[in-house]
Amino acid sequence: MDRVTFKVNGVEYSVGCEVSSNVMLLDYIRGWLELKGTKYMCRQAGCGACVVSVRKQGALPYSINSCMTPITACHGLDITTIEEVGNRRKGYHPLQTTLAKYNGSQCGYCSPGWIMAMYSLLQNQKDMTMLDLEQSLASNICRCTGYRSILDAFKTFA
Amino acid sequence: MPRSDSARGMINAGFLYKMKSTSSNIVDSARIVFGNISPTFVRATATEKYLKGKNLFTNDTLTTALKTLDKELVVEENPGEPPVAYRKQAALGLFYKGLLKLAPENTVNPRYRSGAIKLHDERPLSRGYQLFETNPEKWPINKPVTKVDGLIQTAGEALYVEDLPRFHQEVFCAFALSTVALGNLVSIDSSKALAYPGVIAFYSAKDIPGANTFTMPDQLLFGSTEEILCSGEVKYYNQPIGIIVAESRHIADTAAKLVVGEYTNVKEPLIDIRDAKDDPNRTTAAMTMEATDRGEDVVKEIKGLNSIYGQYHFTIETLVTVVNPSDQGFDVYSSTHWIEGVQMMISKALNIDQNRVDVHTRRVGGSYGLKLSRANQGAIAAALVVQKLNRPCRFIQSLTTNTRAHGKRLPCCSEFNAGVNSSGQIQHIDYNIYEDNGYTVNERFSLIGLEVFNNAYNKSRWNYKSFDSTTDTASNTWARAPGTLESIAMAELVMEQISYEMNLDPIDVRLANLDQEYESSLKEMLDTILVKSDYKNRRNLVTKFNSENRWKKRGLRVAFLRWSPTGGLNLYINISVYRGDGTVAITHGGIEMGQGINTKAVQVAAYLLNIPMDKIQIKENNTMIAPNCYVSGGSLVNFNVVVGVRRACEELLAKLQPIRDQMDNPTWEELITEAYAQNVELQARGFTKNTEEYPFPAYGVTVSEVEIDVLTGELEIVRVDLIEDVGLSISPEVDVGQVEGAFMMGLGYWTCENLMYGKNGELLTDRTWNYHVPLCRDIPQDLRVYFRKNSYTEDAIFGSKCIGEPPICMSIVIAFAIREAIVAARQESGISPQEWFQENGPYTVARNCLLASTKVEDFKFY
Repeated sequence: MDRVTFKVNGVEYSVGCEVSSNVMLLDYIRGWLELKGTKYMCRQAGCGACVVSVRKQGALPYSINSCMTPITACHGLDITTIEEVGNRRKGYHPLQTTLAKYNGSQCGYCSPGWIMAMYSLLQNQKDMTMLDLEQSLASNICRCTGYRSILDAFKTFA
Repeated sequence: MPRSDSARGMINAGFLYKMKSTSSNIVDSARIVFGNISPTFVRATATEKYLKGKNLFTNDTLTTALKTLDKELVVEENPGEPPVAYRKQAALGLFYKGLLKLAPENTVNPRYRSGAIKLHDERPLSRGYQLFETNPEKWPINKPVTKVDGLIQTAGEALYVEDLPRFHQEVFCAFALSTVALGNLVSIDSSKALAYPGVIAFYSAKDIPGANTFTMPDQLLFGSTEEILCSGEVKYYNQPIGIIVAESRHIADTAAKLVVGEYTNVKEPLIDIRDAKDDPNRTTAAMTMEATDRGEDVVKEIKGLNSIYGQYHFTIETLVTVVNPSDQGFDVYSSTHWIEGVQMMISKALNIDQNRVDVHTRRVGGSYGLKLSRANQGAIAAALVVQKLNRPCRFIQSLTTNTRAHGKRLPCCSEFNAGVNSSGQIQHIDYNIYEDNGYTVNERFSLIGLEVFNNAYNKSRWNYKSFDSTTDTASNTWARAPGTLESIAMAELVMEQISYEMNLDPIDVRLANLDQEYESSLKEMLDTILVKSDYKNRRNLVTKFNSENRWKKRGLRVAFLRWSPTGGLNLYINISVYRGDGTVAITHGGIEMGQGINTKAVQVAAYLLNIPMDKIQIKENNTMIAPNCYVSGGSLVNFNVVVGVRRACEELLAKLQPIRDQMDNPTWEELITEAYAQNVELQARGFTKNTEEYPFPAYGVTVSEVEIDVLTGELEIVRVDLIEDVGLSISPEVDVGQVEGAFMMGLGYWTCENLMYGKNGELLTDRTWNYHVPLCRDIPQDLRVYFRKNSYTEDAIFGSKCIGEPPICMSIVIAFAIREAIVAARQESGISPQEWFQENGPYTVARNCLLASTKVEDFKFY
C-alpha cells in the first residue's frame, strides 16, 4: 500500500509521503480541500467544534474529532463533513434548519460540530429517547447558548 | 468528576467482594482498587486483608475497615490535581458508598441510603420553559424571530476570519512566551527555533518600529500601555517575548517553544489578590462613596472577608488575525470587537498612516470580552510579520497561548464591617473592595463597579471604597460583566452572611435592605418569581428532604440583581438601498459576536421601512464604512445599534418622503425606482454619540435549587427560575438566549471553572483537559426564564433594555444554594448554621466535599 485512500463527501482522495504525519484530518479538510465549514478550537478533542462523521465499510457512521485523527489513519474511511449534510445549493438538512429555528446558535462557531455529532448519532442509533440523546452529547462545548436551546432542538429528533 | 461528563475522574475506585456463600454476609476475599491516590498506589491490600472473614455489613467492621483504609491511603500532592484532603475524603466516601449500595436494605438506616447513589445517574431529562410577552402590532419588533445568521451558522456556511482561503506565500506565526514571571529579559536565543525546518523568522521587541504597546491611554477605558512584546522587564509568566514565523501553524507553534529567554534577577511572583490587597506598593485607592446616613439600632457587628477568582473566557474561536499586504498597507481581518483599536494600534506600532490599514470583521466566534482589547496584540504581531516579509500572515493563537498569555476575569476581594439590627437591616457598613488587575491597572473596571457596588441595597449607609490592586499575572481584562459581576456578587454575599449569622430568612434580609429607588420593581418581580417557582412549598420540601437524607443535601436560595448600564458609543451606521429590486444593506458599526445585534438591526429597519425582514442584509464592518467606532462592549452595543439604525432609517425615509407624496401609495420597490429616477440619494447614515444616556436599570431575581452528594461533593442543579426586566424585548428569542447563556457562563464560574497556578506563576489549567466549562448535562434540570411584564423604557430604543451581561450577575445564586446544602451537611457534623464559613473561589466538587466537614466516624450502616 503506497497511498492512504479515503472519501470526503463521496469524492475519493489519497495521500502519500507528501503529507507529514502530524497533518490531521481537520487540517486536510480545511487546508487541502478548503472545506471551511468544519471549525476547530482546542486541537485536543476536548471541545467538539471539529467533529465530522465517518463510516467504515459495512459499518454504521460515528463521530470523530477530526483534530486528533491523523490523515494517514483515515485509510478506507468514508468521511462526511457539514458541507455534505446540507447546504444552500442542495437544500439544508432538517438538523440544520431545526437548530437554527430553536436559536441553538449564537456565535455559531460550535454549531457545525453539534450538527455533525447529532448527524452521526441519528444514523448510528435507532429509537433514541430524549434522555438517551441528552446523555450522548457530552463531546461538544457551547459557551454562548447555555445548551438549553440546542437540546430542545435536538430532542425533536428523539 | 469536576463536572457531569467528559472529564477525568478526580478519584475512582472499584470493589469486588467475594462472600462465603450467596446468602452470607461473611467476606471470603476482597479486592479494592483506587485511582489517583499516588503514582504507586493501586490496591488497598491491608483493608482487603482485614475484611477477610468479617461480616461486611456491621458498623464495627465498617469502622475498623475505614481506619485501616485511612492509614494505607497515602495520597500524594500533585499540582493541578484536586487537593490531597479531598482525594482522601472522597476515597473513603467511595468505599462507604460501595458498601451502602451492596448492603441488604434492612440493615441500612433509611437516612443513610442517600449515600448509595451516583448523583448524575439519577439526573432526569432536562427541560426548559420561557415566558415573555409579544405584541403583534409592533412586529417585526418584539417578534420572536429566528436569528438572521442562524441557518448559515448551523450549515457551516457562515464565514469567520480563519475561513479565509489560503493566500499565496502565506506564513503562520506564534508567540514565544517567557518562562519566568518576574525578571529581566537580557537576551533571547532563537537559534534552535530558527534551525527548525520550516521556520522563517523570529522577531522581538526591538523589531517593532513604532510604539511597543497594544493599548493607548484614553480617557474612557484605558489607563496605561501594555507591551506587545516584552522589552526587558518580564511582568508575568508566559508573557509574549517574541514572534516565530513559519511555513505552517504546527511548525510555528512547535518552534515557538524552542525560543529561550535569558533572565536575570528572577523573583517569585505574587499571584493571589489576598496577598496583594494590603500592600501599598500594589494597591491604590480607586473610588470612594461615603455613607450619608447611619442607623443606631445595632444588635450585632458582622465582619466579612470574601474573595473570588478569575475565569477564562473559553471562546470557541480563539484569537485570530489574517493580514494581507495591500497596495497601500495592510488588509487586516481580525476577530475583534473593536476594529478601530486594531487599526489605530497597528498604525502606532508600525509607524504607518492609519488610512493605510483597513480592518475587516464579519463576525466573531465568541468573545465574552477576550477580543475587546486583547485582539490588538495578535493583530499587530501579524501586521509586523507582513511588514517585515511582505507575505500574507495568518496568526491563530492556540488554546494554551490564549489561556496562558492573556488576562481573564478579574479576581476580587472584599472586606466589610457591618452593624445590623434584629431584622438584618444594615445600620452602618464599612466596605472595601479590591480588584485584581493583573500586572497593570489599565482597563478601569473599578469605575464600572462603582455604578452597582450596593447592588439593590440602601446606598446611604455604605462607606464604600474600591481599590485597584496588581498581582504578577497577565493583565486582567473584559469578561462578561467585568467589575459589575464582582461588585454585585460581593454585595449579595453581605446579604447572605447577615442572613446566616442572624438566623434570618435570606429574602427578608434583602427586603429589609432594599434601596427605595429599586424597591417597587424588585418587590413586584420577587412576588412574581416566588409564585412561579412555588417557592414556599419547595422551601418546606427542601427542609424535609434534608432531614430525611444524611448523604444528599439540598439548598434553595435567592439572588437579586440591579444593573446600571452606562451610555452611548460612537457608531457609524450606513443604510443603502439598491434600485434594481429595493433590497437594503446595512452596516451598523457594532460587532456581531453571537449577541444577535444583526437580527435586532434587521427587525428595527424592517419595522421602520415597513418592508419584510428578508429584504435586508447586514454587511461586514470595516474601518472604511465604520471609522472610529468604539468597542462593542458593556451590553451597550444593542442600544446604540438600535438608535443608530433608527436614525439612518429616519433620514432615508425623510429623503423618500417628497417622492412618496407625489405617488399614490406606492410599493417600496416602486418608491425606490421613482426616487432613483428623481436623483434621490439612496443611502443614509446614522451616528450615535458617546454622550447619550440610557439610564434604565435592569432588574432580576433568581431562585435556584441544588442537590449535593455529601460524600463526593458532586452537584446537580435541580431547578432555576429566573426573572429579568429586559424592557420590551426587541427580539425575545435572542434575549432568552442571552439570559440563558450568560447564566450558564456564570454557573461555570461558580462551580467547575477553577484556574490553578504554580508557585512560579505558571497557569496549570490551560486547556480542555484541566479547565472545565459546563457541558450540556451541567445545566439546570429545569430552567425557567421569565421576562418582566409591562416593562417599557423609551421610544428611542423601542422600550428595550440592556441584556448581554446582567444575567451572569445572578448566577451567584447557584453558589448560595450550594452553600445552603453544605450548611445542612455541616449541621449534621455539629456545626451551627450561624457559623459563617469563608470560601474563596468556586464551589467545586472538591470544595463542596471538604466544606461539608463530614466526619468519617459518621460513616455507618445504622
